[in-house]
Amino acid sequence: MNNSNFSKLPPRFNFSKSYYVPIYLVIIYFVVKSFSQVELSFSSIINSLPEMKQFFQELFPPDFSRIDSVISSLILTFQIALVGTILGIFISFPISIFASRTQSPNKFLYFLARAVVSLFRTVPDLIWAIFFVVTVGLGPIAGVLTIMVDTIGFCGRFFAEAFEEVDPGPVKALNAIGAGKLSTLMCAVIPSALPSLVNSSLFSLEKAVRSSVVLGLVGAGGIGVELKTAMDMFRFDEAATIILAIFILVLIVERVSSWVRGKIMEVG
Amino acid sequence: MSKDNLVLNVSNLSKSFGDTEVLKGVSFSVEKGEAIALLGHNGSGKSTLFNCMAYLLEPTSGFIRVSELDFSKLSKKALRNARSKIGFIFQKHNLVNRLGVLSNIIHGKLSTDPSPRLWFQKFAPSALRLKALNLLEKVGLAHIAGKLAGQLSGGQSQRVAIARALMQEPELILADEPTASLDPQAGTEVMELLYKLAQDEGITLVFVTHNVEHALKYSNRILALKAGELVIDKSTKEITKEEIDTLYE
Ligand SMILES: Nc1ncnc2c1ncn2[C@@H]1O[C@H](COP(=O)(O)OP(=O)(O)O)[C@@H](O)[C@H]1O
Ligand SMILES: [Mg+2]
Repeated sequence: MNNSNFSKLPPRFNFSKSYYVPIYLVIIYFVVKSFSQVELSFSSIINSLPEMKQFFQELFPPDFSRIDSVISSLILTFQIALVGTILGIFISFPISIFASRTQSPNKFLYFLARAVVSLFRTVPDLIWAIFFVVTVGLGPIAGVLTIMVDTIGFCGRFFAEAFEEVDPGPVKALNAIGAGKLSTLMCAVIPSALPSLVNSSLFSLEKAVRSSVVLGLVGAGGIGVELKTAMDMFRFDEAATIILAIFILVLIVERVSSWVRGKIMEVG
Repeated sequence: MSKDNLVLNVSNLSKSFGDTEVLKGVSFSVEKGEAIALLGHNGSGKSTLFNCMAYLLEPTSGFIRVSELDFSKLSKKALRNARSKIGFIFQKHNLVNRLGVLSNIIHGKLSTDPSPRLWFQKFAPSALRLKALNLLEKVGLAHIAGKLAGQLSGGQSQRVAIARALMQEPELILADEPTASLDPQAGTEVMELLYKLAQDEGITLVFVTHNVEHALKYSNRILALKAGELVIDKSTKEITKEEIDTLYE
């Protein structure tokens, strides 16, 4: 072994010298503290087992007497999700072009679009729902707007990434031909990004269906309203029917979307 | 040489990236119908020279004229239009894989006709579709008109890229290592086709290659760059093996 080579080795981990030590200690302290702070205890879980059992017993057998109204609010829920997602995807499209490093016409629009998308994404959907319920009022429109904003936060980001990942070769070729910006976008960028775009859109529809259920809990329309009413009146057997219906809806949407996804990926 | 016959005039062209001077005062002229091989080490500045010729990169100094047009004086729109005169063939075919072969060829017309009908062959005017098919036949691939570009072999893709360039009705074709990612046989076929089509249609051809055999066989003149300087500009008949060898030392 040649000793003169030692100096060329990258440094070892040196704990005692590391100025990260206090940070590590704070993190460890915080994690340990968190466990005690949330009052996690086996005894409280064990003690509540009878109540859990009671709850599940009251769920069964589900009460199907209001199935008509459950189905119609379920369909409304899906419609809220669908309309919100479609609006969101349409609006995401131009925003994500501005928000992609490679396609953005200028730096200002790039940062603006990024900021809008981040804001829409980082504020949780429940807060948007409350905001829209308070401002535009109770009902499906608050749900649609919430899903729309949520979709822009999601698709805006993933569409932009899809545009950034497009092979630069064909874009360069069309530039060399003398094609304009719009032609290049339509002929090279979007066709190449299409599978990603469809994929993200389907995911956001699935996500929207799931969150549109929760949105009803704060009054933004749909089946969540029914669920909250049933729960508030301790009609757990009715709630069971609703939960079952939601489960089936989510399952159907996920199945159909994965089938569509498979079809899209087969081409090219 | 008569001025009417001048297709390309590169005059005292320099290009720097930051502090590094990649092209150093390159000058040469190309006449209509010439076939020119451009040789040089990796990094000698060949691709940069090509990019400057189409003004995809702005030269640091010097000027470029393509059939009497001074590219530095053109507006953005006029520049796009002027680019239709130059067909580019890259090492990678650079087709849009998810679109059909015919759509890709029709895109060659986008510089002079920005109509959205040209985006996809399904909506393109019949005359253009037919023209694209005829070009496909010229490159020997009429039977794959219905395929997606992503389904083609490397050699086929490069032929489609040639058809796309012909769609532009260019006066000049710049081919930057068009055969470098192909196997030797496909490479020779593509080079042969490119040369023959350019000669038949009276299109001036400048191509970069590392294949000395191709350079000698498919050119009437050889240019060579070494560290950004034009060190050879000679008719292919007069060139010697020794001269070429000095390029790669
Ligand atoms: N966009 C760029 N920015 C900085 N340097 C570049 C850029 N393009 C090319 N170069 C440099 O210019 C030199 C010539 O590159 P290139 O023209 O691609 O050579 P060649 O095609 O002959 O192999 C190389 O040293 C390369 O690193
Ligand atoms: Mg190169």
